[in-house]
Amino acid sequence: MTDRTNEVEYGRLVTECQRRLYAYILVQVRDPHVADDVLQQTNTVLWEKMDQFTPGTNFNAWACRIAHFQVLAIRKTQGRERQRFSDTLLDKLAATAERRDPVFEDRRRALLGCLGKLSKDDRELVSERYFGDTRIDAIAESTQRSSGAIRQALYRIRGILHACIEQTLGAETEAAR
Amino acid sequence: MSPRNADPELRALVDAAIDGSISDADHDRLAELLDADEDAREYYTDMAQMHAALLWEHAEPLEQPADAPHARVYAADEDGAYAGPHATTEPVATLRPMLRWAIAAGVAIVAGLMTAMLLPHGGTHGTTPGGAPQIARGVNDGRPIAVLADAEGAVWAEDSVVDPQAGIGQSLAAGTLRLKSGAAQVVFNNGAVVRMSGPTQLVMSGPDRCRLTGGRMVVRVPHRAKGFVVDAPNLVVTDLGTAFGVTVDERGAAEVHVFEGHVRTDVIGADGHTVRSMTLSEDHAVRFEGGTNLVQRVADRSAFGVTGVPPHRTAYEQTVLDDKPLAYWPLTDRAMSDGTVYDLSGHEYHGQTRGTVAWSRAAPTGPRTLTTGRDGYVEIGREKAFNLTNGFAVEAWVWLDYEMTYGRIISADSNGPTAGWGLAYQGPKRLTDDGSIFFTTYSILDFRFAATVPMQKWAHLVVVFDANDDAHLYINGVLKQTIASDRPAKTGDLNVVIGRMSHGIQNWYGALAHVAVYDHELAAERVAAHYRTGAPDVSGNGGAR
Repeated sequence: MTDRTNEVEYGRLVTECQRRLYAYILVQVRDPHVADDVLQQTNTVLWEKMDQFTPGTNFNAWACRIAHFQVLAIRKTQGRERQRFSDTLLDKLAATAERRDPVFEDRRRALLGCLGKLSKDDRELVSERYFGDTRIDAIAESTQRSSGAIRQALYRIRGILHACIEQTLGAETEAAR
Repeated sequence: MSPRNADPELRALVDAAIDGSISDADHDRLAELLDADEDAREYYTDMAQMHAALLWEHAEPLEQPADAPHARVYAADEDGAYAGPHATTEPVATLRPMLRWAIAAGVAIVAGLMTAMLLPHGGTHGTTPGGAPQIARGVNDGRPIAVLADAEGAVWAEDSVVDPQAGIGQSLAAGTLRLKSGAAQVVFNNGAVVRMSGPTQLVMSGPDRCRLTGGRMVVRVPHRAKGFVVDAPNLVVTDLGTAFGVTVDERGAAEVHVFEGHVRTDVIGADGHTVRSMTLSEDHAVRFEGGTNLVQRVADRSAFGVTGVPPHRTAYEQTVLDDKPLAYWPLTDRAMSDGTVYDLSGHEYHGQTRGTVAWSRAAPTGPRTLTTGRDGYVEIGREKAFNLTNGFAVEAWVWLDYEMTYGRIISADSNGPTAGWGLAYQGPKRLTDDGSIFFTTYSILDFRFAATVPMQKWAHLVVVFDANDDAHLYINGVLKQTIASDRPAKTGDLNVVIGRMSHGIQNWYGALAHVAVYDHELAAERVAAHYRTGAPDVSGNGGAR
C-alpha cells in the first residue's frame, strides 16, 4: 500500500477499528489509562507499518496482533505491579478476545439497546461511573452512599446488561432461523 | 456463558477486576480460573469488552461546556434504544453556542453510531465470510459525514455543499466548503469539531478526514476519537488526541499549530511517499517551506482565536513558575517534542534526550514522565548560569525503580566531580541499611542525609543550599534534616545533565519529573506549597502532572 488513495482507505480502517481495538486492549491491561496509552502507541505503529499491510486481508486481526505486542511492550516499561496476569495467560486472553472480535459489534449494538431499558436510577449510576471514568469512592461521596453499596449496584447492573445482551443476541439468532 | 450460569465466584472476581477493586489473593484466584478454563476466559472477555464499550461511549469531549451535566442527560429513543450520554431534547436554536456545539457533537456521534448500526459490521466496510474487509471505494456517496453546528455571518460560495436556506443543524455530505466570509463550525461524524473563518476552502473527504486548500481552521477531537486527518499541500496532519490549527496561505504554504495534545505531521514528497515525519506537542508549531524543511516555532493561539482551551500551565507548573526558577523542566510528554525537553522558566535552557529514554506512567493514574535507565539521560549543556555557589535550591519529583548503587537526579559538574553541585540517591551499602539522598558540592563535601525515599512511589525532593553553606533536605514538603558546612560550591566549566553525571556514570533507574533549579533559596512554606499542589495528582502517593 503506497499511493494516497490506499492511504485514505487505510486511514479509514484505522479509524474504524478504534473502538474494538480499545476493547481488545482493555481485556488485557484492565486500566483504562494504560489502555489509552497502548491504543495510541498501537496507532503509531499501525501508521508506521502501513506499507506492510496487504489490502484484502483481515485488517482487524492484523491490528490486534500489533496491539498485543504493544501490550507486552508497555508491561516491560511499567513497575513490577503485584496484580498482573502472566504472559501466558495474557496470550490466552488475547486469543479469546480475537476469537470474539467478529461478535463485538453485535454485542455493542445490543448493549446500546439494553442501556435504554435500564431504570432511570440505574442509568444515572452508569452515567456517573463511566462519564470520565469516575472512581467508585468519588461516586459514593457525591451520592452520600457507601462505596460497597455503589460497587454492589454496579455489579447488579452489569449482570442485567450482560443478561440482556445474551437475550437480545439469542432472540436475533432465533429470528434468523 | 451467561451470568446466570457463570460460576458466582467467577462473576464476583471478574467484576472486582474490571472495577479495579480486586484484592491480591482474589487476583491470584481469578488468574487461576482464567488460566484453566476457556469458558471462564470468554466470560471475562465479554465483561471486559462491555466495560470498554461503556467507557468508550461515555468518553468526554475535550472541551466541556460550563453546564455539561445538563448535556449528560440520558435519553432513550422511542424504541427504548440508548441515545448516548450527550443527547438532549432541547431545541438547539435556543442554546448558547458552546452548548450547541456539544449537542451537535453528540448528534454527529449518535448519527455515526446509527449509520454503523444500519451497516454490516464495521460501519462503512463489511466483512466477507472469510473475514477479509471489503473496503468502500468512494466516500462521496451522498451519505451525511458531518453536521453544520454553528455559523456567524457565514457567506458560502455557490459550489459549497452547504444549503444556505437549511441553516444550522443540516447534514453535510462529502464535498467542498468554501466560506467567503464570516465563521462556521462543522462537526464530523467521528466527533471532530472544525472551526473556520472566511475566506477558507475545505474539502470534506470523509467522516474523519478533510483537505484544507486555503485559509485557516481549528480542529478539536474528542478524547478517544483520535485519528482525524487534515491534508494540506505537501503535508498530512494526523491527530493523536488533540486540538490544533492549520493554515494554508495564498502561496500554498502550510502551518500547523498544536494547542493541546499531539499531532503527527508528515511531509509528503512528489511521489506520494512520506519523506519526513514529526510529532508535535502542545504549544509547538511548524511551517512547511518546501523540500523536507519544517521550521519550528511557538504555536500562536491568538491567530486562531483559541481562547477556551484548558490553562496553558497546570496548577503545579504555575506554582513552580510563581517562584521564578532559573530553569524548570517538567519532563512530561506535554513539555517535550522530538527529543527536545523544554525549560518552562522562560530562560530557554532546553535540553535534549540522549540514549534510551521512555515516556511512561510510573503510577497507574500519574503523568507520563521521563524514564531513564542504563544509558538514558537529558543533556542541558554548558550554561554559565548554573555556576551557583550558595543561596540556591534544587527540586525534583522522583520515582525509584530499584535500589541502584548511585543515581544522579541532576548534576552540574565539570565532566567529573571537581566543581559544581549535584543531587543524587545512593543505595544501601549493606542489606540492613537504607539508601540515602545526598547533595554534593563536588570536591568540597557530600551532604549525606539520613532520610531516603520509598521504592516505586513518587517522592518530592527539595534541597536548599543556603547563604551560610548549610544544606536543608525536604521530602514531601517536610524538612527532614539540615547539614551544616562552611564552604560554598566550587565554580567551573559546568555541564548540566539530568539522570546521570556528565561523564556518563551514576545513571538514574526510574522516573523523574518537574526538575527545577532556583538561583535563590526556597522558603519552607513554598516547598510545602509545591508538594501540596503536586501530590493529589497521582493516586494518593505524590507526583505532579
